[in-house]
Amino acid sequence: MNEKQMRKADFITSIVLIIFGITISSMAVRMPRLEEKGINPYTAPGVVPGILGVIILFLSLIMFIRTIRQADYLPRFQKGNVKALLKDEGTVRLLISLALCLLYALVLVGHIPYILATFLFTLGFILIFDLKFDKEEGSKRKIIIFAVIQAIISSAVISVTFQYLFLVDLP
Amino acid sequence: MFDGILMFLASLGGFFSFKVIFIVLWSTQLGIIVGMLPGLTATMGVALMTTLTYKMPADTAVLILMCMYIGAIYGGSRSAILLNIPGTPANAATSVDGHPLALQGKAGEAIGIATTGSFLGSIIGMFMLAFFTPILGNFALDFQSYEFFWLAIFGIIISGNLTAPKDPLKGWIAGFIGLFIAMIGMEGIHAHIRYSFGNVNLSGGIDLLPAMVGAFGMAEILNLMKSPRSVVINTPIKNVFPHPRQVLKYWKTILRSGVIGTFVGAIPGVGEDIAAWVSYDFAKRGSKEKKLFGKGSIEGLIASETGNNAAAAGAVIPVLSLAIPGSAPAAVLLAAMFIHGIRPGPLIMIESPEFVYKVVAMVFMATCAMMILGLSMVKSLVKVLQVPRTKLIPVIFTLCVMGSYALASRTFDVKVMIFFGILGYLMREMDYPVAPMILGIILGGILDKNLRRALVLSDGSFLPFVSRPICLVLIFLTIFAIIGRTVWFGKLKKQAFQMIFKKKEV
Repeated sequence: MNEKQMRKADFITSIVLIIFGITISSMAVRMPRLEEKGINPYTAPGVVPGILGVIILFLSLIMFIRTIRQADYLPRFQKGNVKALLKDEGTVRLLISLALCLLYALVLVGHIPYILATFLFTLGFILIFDLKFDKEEGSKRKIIIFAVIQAIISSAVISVTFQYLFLVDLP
Repeated sequence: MFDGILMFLASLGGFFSFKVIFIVLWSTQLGIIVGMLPGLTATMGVALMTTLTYKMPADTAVLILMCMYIGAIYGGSRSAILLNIPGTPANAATSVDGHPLALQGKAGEAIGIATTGSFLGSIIGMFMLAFFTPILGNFALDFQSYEFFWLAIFGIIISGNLTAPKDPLKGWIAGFIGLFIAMIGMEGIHAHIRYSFGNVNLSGGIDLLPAMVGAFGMAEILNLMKSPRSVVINTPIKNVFPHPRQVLKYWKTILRSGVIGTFVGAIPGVGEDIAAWVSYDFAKRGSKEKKLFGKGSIEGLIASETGNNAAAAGAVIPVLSLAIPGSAPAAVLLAAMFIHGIRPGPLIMIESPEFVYKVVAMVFMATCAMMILGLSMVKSLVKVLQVPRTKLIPVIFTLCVMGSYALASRTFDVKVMIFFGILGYLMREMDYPVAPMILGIILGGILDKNLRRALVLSDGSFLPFVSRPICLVLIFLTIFAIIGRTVWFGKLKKQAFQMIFKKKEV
């Protein structure tokens, strides 16, 4: 991120953090004081989160004021910018990695047998990156065969190690 | 003093068995490999290893983690020298002089120097660990809730200051957000559930380990996959054994870097990367060969490697004596100790002083293993750097998921890991350091309990917070850390220099 982009990002994050600070401190104020139980008011559950909320609010206000004192901090959403961002190879690589990770951790694991989920994730990851982005040397067939072998070995080894060596009930 | 030496020797004697030596060797080697691979940090290695060793006996698990930690901090120097990519952030300063040496065809020599520097740094750190932990522990016995409150605040401020040199404000925000995260779930005094929104899993709080695996593991994976793959340079590696004269020539730098590294390592939440840079900076200022720095200076290389490995041992000092981590991997180590029922903190020197010396003995064994493994199998181990990351990353991510799940066998922890992974990535992109947030999660409970307890003790008066001597020192340090980073303080400093020396500050 360059300085200009950072200013815009700081502007947005400072607003988000201001809202966050206000929310957590107002929730802390509304927490029960437990006075009916004869509890010392200084030990009320909301004391510390309330203080932390105010500190976060204060720090993000400083950041907000500091950002708006500089020029060119307002983010502008233009079609071209979004398109250029989505075309950038780094962004595509990041989004694909994130999608694969989320698909594996949140969708596959727990819904299909663990060993199969790990096999599919490993295979998919290697094939997508080796064939599309990092362009490993060698024929397509060779890459696919090696990916399948690695996926089988790693999913089997990880499953067996956790299940029998670390005695974990696989998800 | 003599009791300490005897306990150290007894612990060392207890470790001399074939089984333990085997464990030390494989775990240090694994640490070196994890450190060598760019994108796999010491924190990630120690965190994943914690999830794998939690069913082992406490001593064995802590030994493995210690070896992993020391091995990884050293291992990162390999890729820094050969690829110009620091294997872990701790080795960033190493690449400044290590890589130019490799380009000059002195890769073997650079590896040898880095290994010796790391060994000596770790040994200096070990001596200071053995010496200062009991002193700090005994000193901390006088700490009451007031002092612990200020210690938590000081930890967050100084960690934010040093891990976000460009913008400390972002470091402090990250730290306070971490403190807030620790507020989620059941609080420790009245068992009231905070910020859980009726979710049963959230009412149990956010576990440190899944958060760390996400923030240091998954975030690193996303960061790594975003950039195109790096090209491995084939550099000839000749003799890796450095000449003793070459090392002895820089004995002052080694000693200075070792001491600086240990002290920086012991500052809460600061870590090995800052220790290496500070050591490097001091070495450059005090060097007779300033011009060589950045172009392949052996002194620069030795300073950064001595500094970062000394910091690894230094980071354990506050873990044992105050239950506050000096660095991110040390935070995992602290969490692992809690998981295994070891309770570090001021009482450790009274309840189980032998454990402190056991840890010293573990550092010693890991350091020796690092030296032996570091100087052998160099050529074959370099091949690890050639493993394509596309083959490695899916396996690492699978371990991140399984490691988070294995601790409590619940998928909620996997979701926590994912959340912190994405948050950690975004924070990095926007220059927010992750380490203060993790320190905040650890210190949150300490801050919460001690502030409320202190207010009850003082009956709502804030006077004891500002009148007790240790509190005053901590307040002074905290205020200085904050004010020291403001613009007007910089101007004031400049004016003062001009007034005193009648010339511009150098």
